Amino acid sequence: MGRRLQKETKLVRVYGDLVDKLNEASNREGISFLDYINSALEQAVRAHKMGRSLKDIVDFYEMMMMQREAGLVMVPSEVLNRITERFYPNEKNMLESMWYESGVWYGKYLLVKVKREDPTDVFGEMLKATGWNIKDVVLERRGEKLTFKCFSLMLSLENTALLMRFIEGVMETLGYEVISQNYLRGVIEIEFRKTTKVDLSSIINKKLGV
Amino acid sequence: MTPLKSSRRKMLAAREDLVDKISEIARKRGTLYDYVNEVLQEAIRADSLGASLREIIDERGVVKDAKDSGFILVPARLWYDLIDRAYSHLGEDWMRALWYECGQWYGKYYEDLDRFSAAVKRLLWDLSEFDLSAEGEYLVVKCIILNSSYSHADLLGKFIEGALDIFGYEPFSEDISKGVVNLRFRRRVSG
Repeated sequence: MGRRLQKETKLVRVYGDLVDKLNEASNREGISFLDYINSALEQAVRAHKMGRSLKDIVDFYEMMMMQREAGLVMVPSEVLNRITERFYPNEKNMLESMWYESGVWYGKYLLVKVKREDPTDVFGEMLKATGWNIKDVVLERRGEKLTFKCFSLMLSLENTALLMRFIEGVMETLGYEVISQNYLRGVIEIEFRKTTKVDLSSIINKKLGV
Repeated sequence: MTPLKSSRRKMLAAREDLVDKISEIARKRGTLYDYVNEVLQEAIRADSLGASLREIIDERGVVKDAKDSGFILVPARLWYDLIDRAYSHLGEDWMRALWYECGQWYGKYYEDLDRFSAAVKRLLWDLSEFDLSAEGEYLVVKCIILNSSYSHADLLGKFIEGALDIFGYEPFSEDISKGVVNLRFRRRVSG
């Protein structure tokens, strides 16, 4: 068996530091070291066939874990759209206020959770991963000013307006005050200015009716 | 992940056919040494996230499928609040019909009862428990929902009922309360 195994295996060079960690991980999974290495390589081949790198896939998984931890849930878009369509004409303010409040909460989560990166960049990435068919999120920084642009091919006019309020809630919590904003169906453009936390809490509380 | 740097290199054994495939991929990207290390670093990163690379790639497939089928991510608090308000303002019947129809849509989309059940388990993050099993002539569905209201439990029941209608089942009994949905179905007799 040993000889046969030897014939069917090849040796690859790796960083010395990795070996102990791989050994621990294989023990945790309850499989042999060789099986663990083979399995990792198999998944790399699988990822390659999907046209992705393993890093992209693990990044995406980590982001989805973060979304879940942030209290997001998967919902059928059709249900959300139909409810919004029915509510929006008469309850526009109520809906917009709910989305804004949700954004404030999400912004607070990002402030607590995101340590090493800029939370606004993480927010942009998370927005793209929501499944709202958001094609692009652009953050243009010029000194204290930041322009937030978001493009989606799927959003209705009502949902674009609601998403804009959500973004406003997040960004104000992250320390940006709205200077100007406008939207078209599927396109949001908001100009922000960096401001102090004291100024912002009064703006947010006012909008939340606190 | 920051690459681990070490002056000490070690040799690892791996299946020959896999090393050959990896060498082919690596050729387009750089060196075999760098690529193998990148792969193994991601395996360790996956382990630190509490999953294997296989599970992570499987999960991506499920999420991609969900997004393709129209699932989107929404803050839970906003969603529950919206559902509660819609349930009382737009009417229970209208909401139930909407969820039933939506369940039918997903029943058709997933085509198969096991696929539907697996998708519900993986995608509905607010379910702490979802069990769909056969008990004699019945199909029994048991769900426990986190942080939920009666309206949400009722609507989830309708969603499942709609999907199971597509698979040829009709409701036999239901027991729905805040956070808990227990449904019993039986095969519909045709004709």
